[in-house]
Amino acid sequence: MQTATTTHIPFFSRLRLRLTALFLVVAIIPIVLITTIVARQVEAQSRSQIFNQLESISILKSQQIDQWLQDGREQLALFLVSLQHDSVTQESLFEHATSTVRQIADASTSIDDIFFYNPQGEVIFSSDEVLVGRVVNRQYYFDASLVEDHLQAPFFDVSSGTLALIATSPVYAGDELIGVAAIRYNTEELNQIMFERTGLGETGETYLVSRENNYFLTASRFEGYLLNRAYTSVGIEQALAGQDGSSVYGDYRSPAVPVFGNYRWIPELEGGLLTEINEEEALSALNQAQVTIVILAIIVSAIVVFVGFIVTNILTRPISQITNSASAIAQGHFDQRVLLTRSDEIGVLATAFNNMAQAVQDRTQQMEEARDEALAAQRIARENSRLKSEFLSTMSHELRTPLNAIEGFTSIMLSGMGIELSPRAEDMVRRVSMNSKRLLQLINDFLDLSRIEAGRLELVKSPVSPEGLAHKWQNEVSVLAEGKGLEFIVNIDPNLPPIILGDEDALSKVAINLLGNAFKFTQQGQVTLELSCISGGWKIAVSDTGIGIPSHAREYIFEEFRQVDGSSKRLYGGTGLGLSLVQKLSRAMGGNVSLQSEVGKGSIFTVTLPLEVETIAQGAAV
Amino acid sequence: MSNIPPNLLKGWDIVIIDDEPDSLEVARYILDFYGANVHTATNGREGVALVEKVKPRFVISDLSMPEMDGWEFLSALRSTVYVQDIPVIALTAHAMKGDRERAIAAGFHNYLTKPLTANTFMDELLILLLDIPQLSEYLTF
Repeated sequence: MQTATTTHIPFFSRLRLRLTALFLVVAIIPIVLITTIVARQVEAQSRSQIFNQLESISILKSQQIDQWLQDGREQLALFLVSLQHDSVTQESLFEHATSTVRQIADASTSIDDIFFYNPQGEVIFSSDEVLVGRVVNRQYYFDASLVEDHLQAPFFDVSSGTLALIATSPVYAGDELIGVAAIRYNTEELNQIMFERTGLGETGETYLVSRENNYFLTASRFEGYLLNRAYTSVGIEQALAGQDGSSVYGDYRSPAVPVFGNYRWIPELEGGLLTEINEEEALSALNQAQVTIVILAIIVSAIVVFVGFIVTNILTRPISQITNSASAIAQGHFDQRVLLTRSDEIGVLATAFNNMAQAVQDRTQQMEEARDEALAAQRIARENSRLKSEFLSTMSHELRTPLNAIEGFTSIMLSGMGIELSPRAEDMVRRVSMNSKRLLQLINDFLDLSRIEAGRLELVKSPVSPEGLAHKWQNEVSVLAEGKGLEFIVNIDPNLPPIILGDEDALSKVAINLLGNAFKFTQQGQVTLELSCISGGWKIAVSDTGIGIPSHAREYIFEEFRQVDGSSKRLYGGTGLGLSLVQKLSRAMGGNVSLQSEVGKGSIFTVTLPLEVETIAQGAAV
Repeated sequence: MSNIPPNLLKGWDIVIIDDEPDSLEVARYILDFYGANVHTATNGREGVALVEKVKPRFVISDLSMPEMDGWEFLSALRSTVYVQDIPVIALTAHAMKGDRERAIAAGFHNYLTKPLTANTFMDELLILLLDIPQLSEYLTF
């Protein structure tokens, strides 16, 4: 079972998110910049196009108006030519003219009527007979018409209820003014021109505004705005001030309706030509383009995010895989590998990771094997130690048993308990006893050393009396002193506590060994045992007046099977195990042994030991 | 030794149990010298039967023996009527650490350490016997 714990990464620190965000920023900044610039350019271009279009329409309209006016003037000229007829009398002339005007008026769509009035204002003849006999001397154009060619600015004819536009030309006979020829334009034609709205969409319009009172000369395309009423706007004011141009301004309908407008002064009509289209409609194409651009930008961004997501996924998935594998390995699944076959850096990483995992696995295996081996070795060592200990125990028993028997029987033979021996036999038995004692001592030392080396030495501290110990040791070695005629002195420091804690066996072995050596190597004089307090402990000092130990030998005298030289071995016997045992036991008890010696004068062996005294409560209990 | 009267243990029945015949022989000779009637056995089982038969004043028993060792002998003796109060002194070849405490805790009166020699055996034994009230009254110097 594999539970790979993935380290928790805060959401906003995840590589995937950060990379995607980076992609987005890198992609969107240029997109936004380009979009903005393009939109600005498109808008500027679009505005300029709109103005151009409006101006074109305006120019076209004004040309059409010019054409229309020109056509009227030509009809008037035709009429005037007809008046140059060689008629003898005025009557015949007028008669002829009447038929002419009818022809002319019928032929031209630009004009409604042609008429002629005398200087008094009475209409003499007309293409429309209804007008004949009317007096026009109260009309706006009358006075001016008598003087020169005149085009009267449009006005509303109250009698017909229509817009009236009159062009006049005075007629002379010789120098005498005989009347005025006049045409009345067909203003419906003007409306037609204005109503032609090609290129103006749903809200575009052209209209004419009179200078006089801002009256609309042609109809608005919007309902509720009447002819012969005054409306105004920035464009209207500009046009009526004689300016030509284009701008965006609030419409006459409401300042809140911005329009693109072209304004143009038409001097013949004493009015302004306005060509306008609602800004909203005019810019709708632009807005559409801008919306398209924004949508494109969003689509591109989405693609970038998607691509970024996929790319980061491609990048981060192997990282996740490696992370999971690392976690698994950390949990002890050393056979975990990253399954990636790629030739890029991540592939190299995966390969390196797998190599590392292999190395970790190998090393772990080696370590486990080494550990198992070490454990096995330790088990074997422990078993060996146990066997050795058992062997020592058995050896100890088996070696001592026959010696104990020898010791027992020789002691009986020498004790005088009813055994009669010849002096020679007694001497031999004594030698047997001495040798058996030596052998026993040797075996005991050897076993003790073996036990110490096997780590099987157990020191048990119990309350002991230093003085009691000294007497016991004295008893044991007194035979040696008496045998050689040596003086044996025991000094006990009165400051030494009467009861101390110590291992009696170990202490005895140390002391007996030192005393035995002292007696062995001393031929005359004395051996002194001293027990005394020292700072931080107590000491057992054994001094003699023997042969002494040369300085070069003091370094190795505590090593096993060492004596000063071969000759001393022969002279004094012994195995050299004793001092080694003394040193090891002293150290095991937390102390040490030191030597002062002078050749020919004697030696002092000093064992220093830590002093431990039982507490009063425990002392009372024992 | 010289100050111990040769007839000190005269008339005493003593049982000694040890699997080593030499050791038994040394002890027998010394105790015999002081007048005791020495009975020997070579393991605990024989020892129990011998003690039941002889009803000695005290017993000296080795600790390590085949068939039934000293510890088992002691507990067997302590559960046998009439002889359960007889003092038993342990005998050991090499006093291991704590043996003395273990032996006394198990019910041995005390212990003696081998080798048994003419010089020390009686001295040490006498010290132990004087410590046993039911025996000390018989000891007269």
